[in-house]
Amino acid sequence: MKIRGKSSNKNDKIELQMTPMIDIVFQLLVFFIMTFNVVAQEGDFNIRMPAIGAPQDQLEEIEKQTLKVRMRANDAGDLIELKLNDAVLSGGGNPFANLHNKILSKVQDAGGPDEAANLLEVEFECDYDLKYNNVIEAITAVSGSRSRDSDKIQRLIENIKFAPPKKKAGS
Amino acid sequence: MRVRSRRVFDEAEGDLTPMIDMTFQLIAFFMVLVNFTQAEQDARVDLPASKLAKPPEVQQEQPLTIQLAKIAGSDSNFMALVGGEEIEVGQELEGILQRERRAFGRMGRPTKSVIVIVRAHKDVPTGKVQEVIEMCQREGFERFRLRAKEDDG
Repeated sequence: MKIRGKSSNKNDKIELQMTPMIDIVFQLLVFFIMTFNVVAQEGDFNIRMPAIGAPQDQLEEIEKQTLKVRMRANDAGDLIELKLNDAVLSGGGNPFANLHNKILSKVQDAGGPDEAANLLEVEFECDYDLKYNNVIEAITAVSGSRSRDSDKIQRLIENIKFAPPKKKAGS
Repeated sequence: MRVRSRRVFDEAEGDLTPMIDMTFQLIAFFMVLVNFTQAEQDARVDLPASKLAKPPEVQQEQPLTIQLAKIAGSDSNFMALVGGEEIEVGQELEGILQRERRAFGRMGRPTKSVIVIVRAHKDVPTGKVQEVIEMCQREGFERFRLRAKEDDG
């Protein structure tokens, strides 16, 4: 008597358990979403400040015309006065927009940004307590502008330096 | 003759393959973007905004990044952060800058060629930023970059 044992059906489907894998995948996804951090794009403004005590012959040969920007602050660090050489720009309107317009006319008088790069430089003289935000706005105003329609940046003056900060008397 | 109809109970199976594909796509996306190191972009530093702030086109060779962050709970105190270390702006920072100068020297890079990136909180007194720059100048650093975040407004 031939006894036929139950042989495994070769056509049985092998099923993989996907549930644990999906669980782990979702765990990873939640982890990465929680650690994701959106940061704004950052950019730099160049300042060249020679080392203290650098010999004179290391400095540039061509003497540049220095435009002095003087910024005064109140005790809270807010800007109360902005002057370009002797002209007060904080009297009416946005002082930084006024500064930008003045610098623009100086650059045009010098013959354009390329010539201004060789002839003009800006020196910032700020009160010690002035909030740094104001300095960046001022540097933006003298460095150029960006049109809203395109991403093009119109450069003005890129030679920027700082005078020693002015501390209030008694501080 | 009694005919019994066979009741077939079908299991409803959803196909999870597209969902798993999308989930893997999302994981790959976030894995590429995740940045665990906050040493060079501390969240305590709220940069001032500028319309001209654009990322540099050329990646600079390992710069020295000095951050000035606002201390939580204080209106006027700011601390320097170099490589994740919290440092008082003073002798401690001078010591760190000397150490960095020696480290760059061992790498064969003179301090004149090293770019110093200053990431300062928008409310830091300007004088403090200038003090930091002055300390760097005393150690021979000459090239500075003031960092700002992009202003889209």
